[in-house]
Amino acid sequence: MENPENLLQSIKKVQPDPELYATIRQRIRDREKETTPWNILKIAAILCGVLLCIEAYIVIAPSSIETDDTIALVSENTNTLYNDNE
Amino acid sequence: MNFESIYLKHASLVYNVALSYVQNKEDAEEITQDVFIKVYDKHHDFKGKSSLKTWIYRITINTSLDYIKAKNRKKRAAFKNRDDDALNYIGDFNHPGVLLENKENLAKLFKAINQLPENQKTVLLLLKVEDLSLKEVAEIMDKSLKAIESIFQRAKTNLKKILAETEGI
Repeated sequence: MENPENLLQSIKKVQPDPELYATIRQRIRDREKETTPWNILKIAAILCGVLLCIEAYIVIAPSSIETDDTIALVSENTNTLYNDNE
Repeated sequence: MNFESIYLKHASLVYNVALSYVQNKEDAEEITQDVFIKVYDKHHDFKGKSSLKTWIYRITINTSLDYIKAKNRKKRAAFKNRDDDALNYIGDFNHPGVLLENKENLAKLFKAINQLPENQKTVLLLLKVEDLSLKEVAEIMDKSLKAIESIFQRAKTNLKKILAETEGI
């Protein structure tokens, strides 16, 4: 066999297929189309999360206020009753 | 620089480096596509610490090595399932830059080069096929000149051994 280094240097440079650029642009476009529904899903998931948080706040916040009021009312009434009995 | 200009300036470089790694037109085209999709994704983030050419060389080398690893995994899976078509396809030598009279010898030579460790193969291909200087190879591989010289010497020694063993059979 001829000297390996000379053999390697005998390899000619070749130009890629001119269609290759169009193929690459197409792959980029296809990928961007594929990623759009995923972005919509992400936005929808974030919105659902925000709505859940708002709903949780609406449910939990008034109930905590009610509890405090009830305690206050019961203790006041008890006192009143106690006072009435006296 | 916009994407199209980057492509026009570097397409030939990427395609020829990929061809050196896979010695196959179809695989080299696929690697070229993968490289430019990565370049498209990242060229806005390119900080210019190295030259654009060096950066593209690095992406091409890494993409080619990853492609070969994936192909070898496929080859092993095909061997397990006895998928003979896949095995034959992977062994193809179809380098469009090789002269007909050198085709047989270069097919043997690349079979030996493909058995070298990744860094030895890369240094050999960049110096002898791409015809880059030691300094350029050192910059692309982010190593010192001495390290590149030493890797090149080891590559030559190992290549001789592999070729001697092959010819001995």
